Amino acid sequence: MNSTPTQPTPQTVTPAPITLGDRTFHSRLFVGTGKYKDPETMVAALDASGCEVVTVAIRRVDWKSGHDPVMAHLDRKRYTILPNTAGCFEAEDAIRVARLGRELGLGDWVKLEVLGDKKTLLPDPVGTLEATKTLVAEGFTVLAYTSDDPVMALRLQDAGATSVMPAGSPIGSGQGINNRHSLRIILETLTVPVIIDAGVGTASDVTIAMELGAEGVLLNTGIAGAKDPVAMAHAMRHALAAGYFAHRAGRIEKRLYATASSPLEGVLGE
Amino acid sequence: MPNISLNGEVRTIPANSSVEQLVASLEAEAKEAGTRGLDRRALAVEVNRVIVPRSTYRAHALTEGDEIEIVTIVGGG
Repeated sequence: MNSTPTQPTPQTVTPAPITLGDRTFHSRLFVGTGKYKDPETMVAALDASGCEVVTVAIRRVDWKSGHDPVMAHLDRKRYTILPNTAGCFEAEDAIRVARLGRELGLGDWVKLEVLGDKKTLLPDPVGTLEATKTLVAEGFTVLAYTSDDPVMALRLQDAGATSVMPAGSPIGSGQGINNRHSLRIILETLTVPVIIDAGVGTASDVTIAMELGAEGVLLNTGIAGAKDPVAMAHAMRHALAAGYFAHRAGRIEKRLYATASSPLEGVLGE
Repeated sequence: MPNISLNGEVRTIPANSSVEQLVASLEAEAKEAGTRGLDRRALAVEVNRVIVPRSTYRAHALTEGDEIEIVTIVGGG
């Protein structure tokens, strides 16, 4: 044993790229651009997260106060902009927003949200499925936000969603990953990439999602709402890598009783 | 002069206005308000739930009761 310690190779510290439709990204973390206290914090947090895809919303323009400064601060060469249909409670409205996103030059992909009610912001499965079918037929690349229902997730895949994005817990709740069992079934069943979207409160939630076998994680409030968003973005990035590698390494089974790590034979005093 | 609905609010516009004229009037109002301003390249327009491509702003005439949505990109998750 006289070898010198070696540096970890890049393959062991950086998760492999993820492919969604015809695009490949080096980061599996997808980060929202909402709720930052100022654009500078957002830019620094996105940078620290290492993300390559950022989500945006589409809203009625308030022409008297001018444009939201967010877009002016996003480097379009660095980030792929993924418009969402957040706030839509009808399939038809979500379809309109997706089309408006395309008209705004954001391409043909969309993070589809059709929500059921304002208090829980839980997805409306019927509307989501309907909108997915229509948008796929119109040539959109649909990343469909859904609940952790395994049957619904399968239906969305069958309807042509490029990615199915089950919630870890309600949007912005910070509850983390509430139903590992259902998510595991989704992850075992689906063949399209599954990205856990929503509910992340802190870095360990991202790790849990990735340990379960998710292909990626999408979050916003967990970073934007942290006391130090830039430091949290940094933590989220590393948490994702930790979970990614832990999943591939294969965890030990949980046991009720202890099993000693050191030999039980040859202990002094026996 | 026709009344239209713009982003959910009633607005009276000059007769025979086009989408181009409506957008131009919003640009003027934004300038007058003296804030961050309005960049028409960052806008998308829908009339009666159908998108009006930028190239047809001039050709698209607005009429009484038209429902117009003009949207832009904002931060979101």
